[in-house]
Amino acid sequence: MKQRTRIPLLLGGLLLLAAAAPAIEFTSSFESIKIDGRPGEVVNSEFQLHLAPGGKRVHFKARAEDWWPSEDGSRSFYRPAGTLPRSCGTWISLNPVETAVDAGGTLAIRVTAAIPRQAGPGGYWCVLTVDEVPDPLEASEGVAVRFQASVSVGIFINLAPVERAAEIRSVEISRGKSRLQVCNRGNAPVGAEGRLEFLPPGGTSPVATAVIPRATVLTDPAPCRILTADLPGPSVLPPGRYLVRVLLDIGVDHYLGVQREMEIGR
Amino acid sequence: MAARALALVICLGLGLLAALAGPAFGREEAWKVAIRGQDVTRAADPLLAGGVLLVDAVALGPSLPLRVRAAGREVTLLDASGLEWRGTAGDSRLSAPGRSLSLDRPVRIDGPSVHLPAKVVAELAGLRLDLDPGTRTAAFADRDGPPAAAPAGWQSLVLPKPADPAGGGAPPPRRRQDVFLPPDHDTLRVGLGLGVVPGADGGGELTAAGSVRGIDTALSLLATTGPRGFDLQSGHAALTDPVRGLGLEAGDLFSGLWGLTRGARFRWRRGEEGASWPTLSVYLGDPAANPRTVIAWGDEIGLGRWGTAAGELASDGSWLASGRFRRDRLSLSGHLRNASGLFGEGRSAGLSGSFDLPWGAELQGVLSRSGSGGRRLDGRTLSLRLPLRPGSDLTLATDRSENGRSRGRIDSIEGTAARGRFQLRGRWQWREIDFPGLLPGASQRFAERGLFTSASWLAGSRLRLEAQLVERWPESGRRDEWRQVSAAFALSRRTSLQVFATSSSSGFGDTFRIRLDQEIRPGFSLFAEAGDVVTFQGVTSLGGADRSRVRIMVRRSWDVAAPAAGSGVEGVVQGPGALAMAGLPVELGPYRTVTGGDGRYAFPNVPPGTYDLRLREQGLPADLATGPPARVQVKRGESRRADLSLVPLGEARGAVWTDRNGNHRRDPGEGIAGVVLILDDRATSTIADGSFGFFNLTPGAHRLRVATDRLPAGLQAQVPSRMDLGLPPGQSIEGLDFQLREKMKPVVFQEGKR
Repeated sequence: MKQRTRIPLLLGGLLLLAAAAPAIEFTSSFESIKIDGRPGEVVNSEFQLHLAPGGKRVHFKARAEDWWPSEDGSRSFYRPAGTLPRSCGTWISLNPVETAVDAGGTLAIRVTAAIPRQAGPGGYWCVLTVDEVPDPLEASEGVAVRFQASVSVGIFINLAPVERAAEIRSVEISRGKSRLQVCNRGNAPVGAEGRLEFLPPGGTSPVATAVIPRATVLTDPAPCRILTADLPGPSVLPPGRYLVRVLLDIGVDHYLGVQREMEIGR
Repeated sequence: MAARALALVICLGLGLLAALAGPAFGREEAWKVAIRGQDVTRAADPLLAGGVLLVDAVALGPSLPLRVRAAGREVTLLDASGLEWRGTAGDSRLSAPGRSLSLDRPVRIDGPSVHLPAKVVAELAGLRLDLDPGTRTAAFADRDGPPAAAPAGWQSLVLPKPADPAGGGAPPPRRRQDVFLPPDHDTLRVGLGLGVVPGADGGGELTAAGSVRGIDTALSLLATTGPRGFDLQSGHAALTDPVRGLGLEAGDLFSGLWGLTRGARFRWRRGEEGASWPTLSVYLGDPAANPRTVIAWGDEIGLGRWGTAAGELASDGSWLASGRFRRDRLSLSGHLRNASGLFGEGRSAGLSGSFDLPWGAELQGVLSRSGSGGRRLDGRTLSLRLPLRPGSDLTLATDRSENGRSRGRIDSIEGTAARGRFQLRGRWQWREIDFPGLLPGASQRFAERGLFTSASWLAGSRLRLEAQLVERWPESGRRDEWRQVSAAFALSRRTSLQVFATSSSSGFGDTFRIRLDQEIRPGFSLFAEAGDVVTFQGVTSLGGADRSRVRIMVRRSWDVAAPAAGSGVEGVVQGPGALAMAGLPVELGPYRTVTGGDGRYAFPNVPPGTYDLRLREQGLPADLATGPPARVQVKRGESRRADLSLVPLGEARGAVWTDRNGNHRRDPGEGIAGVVLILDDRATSTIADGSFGFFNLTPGAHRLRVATDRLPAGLQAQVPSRMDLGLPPGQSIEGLDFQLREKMKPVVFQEGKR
């Protein structure tokens, strides 16, 4: 009986292995393309992706499109370029748009931003999305499971004068986590990161800190973002009353912060 | 009277109007300029041109994070981020590496003043500009906004960021090495060395090597002073123009006819490069070699891949003919010489050759004859080298020589073995010499066996040890032995020590020498030698009688800037519609620059030669393309102009569909995915809605077709399945639709049996 059940399982596994095309291996800096431009200016940049040697030749297709995250950052939304009011997608030209790269080779895409003369000040953004697509000239492998790669990197264009301003709308601390809502009050996306400091009442130096990881806070259509941080364990931060200080760095010459005394339970 | 009163009233009225209108007109014209609340109107010298406010960027520079410099019609601006922008008077564009910035009004340069739009000045300085047309005020201010509000129950907080301990604020702007121009000068390295052997003699050397106005220059001079007085021991100077193919040298020359002698030689290239090098030489009389001063003409003719032929003919009748030949595995060289001087008097001939055998083995042979009569000398050598393994080989050789008084023979076997940092070499030889004519009716014979061994060991990167041993066993007489050891030790990157010692079984010729080399600073070094040193005038202290000698020498070298020889290459880069393209990377061979605001580029001082001129594709806007590189030949003293142009790229879009409902129109759901289309040598496939696109296409003719052999199952192409496109520059062609139809199997009705 055992023998009978094993055989179909084994066959099924072999079929799956035979049908699954290997995923590609590549490296890239994945750094956003950041441009401080001026209306009427044409700025060139480049995106590179390096394929690992020993794999197969890969066909890529690139496009510029609009992007925004959900408020809690758990989901991303992609729409055609020009959907958002602060989209830079229609300013972007790419070359090549579609090409094939041999294993061990480099995909280098020229990214040109032609900023309209009438563009107003502030921040504009979009993403460069590079998709792995089936090679049109490759013979079909029949029914197969194919894992295709897709990479998106942000393109942020700032036109002076840029106002970087943000507001901490709410702070919740409970069950070992902190959750703060940060809203953009400026005219350009900001990268926000920081820390929570826990000081004894009347004290000057914190007994514990918690790191707030970096996140991008856009303007439209989602000007607010929920940032979360894990609090230190009870051995570092015992229950008690503390002066809780939230400090955010949004890329200006000072930290943005709020503070209050509160009871920290576990 | 009434007329006078009327005139007075009119004058007063006009005066009153003027008094009222005057200040109002002045307020309309005069703008005030402030930086962070401080009035800088006088320095800013504001001007209104075509509705655009211009300010003097040079005068405001010290008050802004902006450095502006004007030179003639050119202006250079270093903005707040450290980026360098360039512009030209009258241009409506500033350019920086990889960037360009259009201006609402052109750059205006008036003496030391540079007027630019105030909006651009604020942007470059990283400030905000508040223009108030009502009060005619332009205010430059910082961009930071007010502090934010806090959530309920929380207290707002603004904390200054701590100073960066590294001293820097924002990281320095990334600069790409977009400009690499030919050096604006050639370099001549001059060296001077002075040395002394206390109590013996002294010497000095002067060297120079490099290029002056593109002429390869070399000089070496060694002079000594000592027991023989002042002696110019050697000297050589050479000037070579590699472009024109001319060369002049003087001093100690080597001639195939005369060997090393003093004189002067002029050589020039004739025909295609390397085809022929005639020479005209003057060799000075030298009692030791050639008693007469002679003039000689020579030539070296290239025979392509076959080899070379050379000859020299002197005014005293001496001549030399030589040649080298190479064909597949065989190489031969030979000479015939008839020299009338003391050196090499008489005729001589020589022929040597080698033949490459299988497995890397090599056979070599030499035949030579010189002199005549009783001074004739014949020689024959044959050797076979057999490779054993990488770094190891075995050589068998036999050598015969004969003159009027003796016959000699040497047979030898020699091997080399290397393993890692250790190398061993050994040679065993038998030597015989017969003297048939020394005693009447009897011949005398001398024979010996000899063993020559040497070993070297590289102990790490700092120490190298070498040892040599020579042993000889004459048939009659006692065994002779000679030993040598040396060690070289790098004490530091700038200091090295060498020790050298020899000894022999006879005790004659035992030597010991120690040498220290010290680099004091780059280009300045000292070495000191003690023991059995060789003096500058060639007197050695052998035998241990005078081992206290010391030689000290200092050497210094300088790089001297010399005039460059290159020529200029310049041009303009034009984009679509003859638009000047700024900030684009231009490459000329190994050199790089970027176009200025007017689209111009310039490479000064380009050395003569042929270069590829191109625009670097990765620095071009994505929607523009350039053609293949242009070949530019640069000659000395001739400036070249070479313009480059860019073409805008276009797109071709369309769809593949099937008219399922037969309404001759493409309706939603009728697009077919996965259909392969081929445009020239590119391929793509349709996406889910049946649409496709080819992008970044050069203008001109293209051929587009459906890959009918790769259609999805059950579909077939409908005519036409290919199109010829004419793509205008920078345009898109839309609506390139291909229709497919489903394959219909014909119904064949079965015929009934009759």
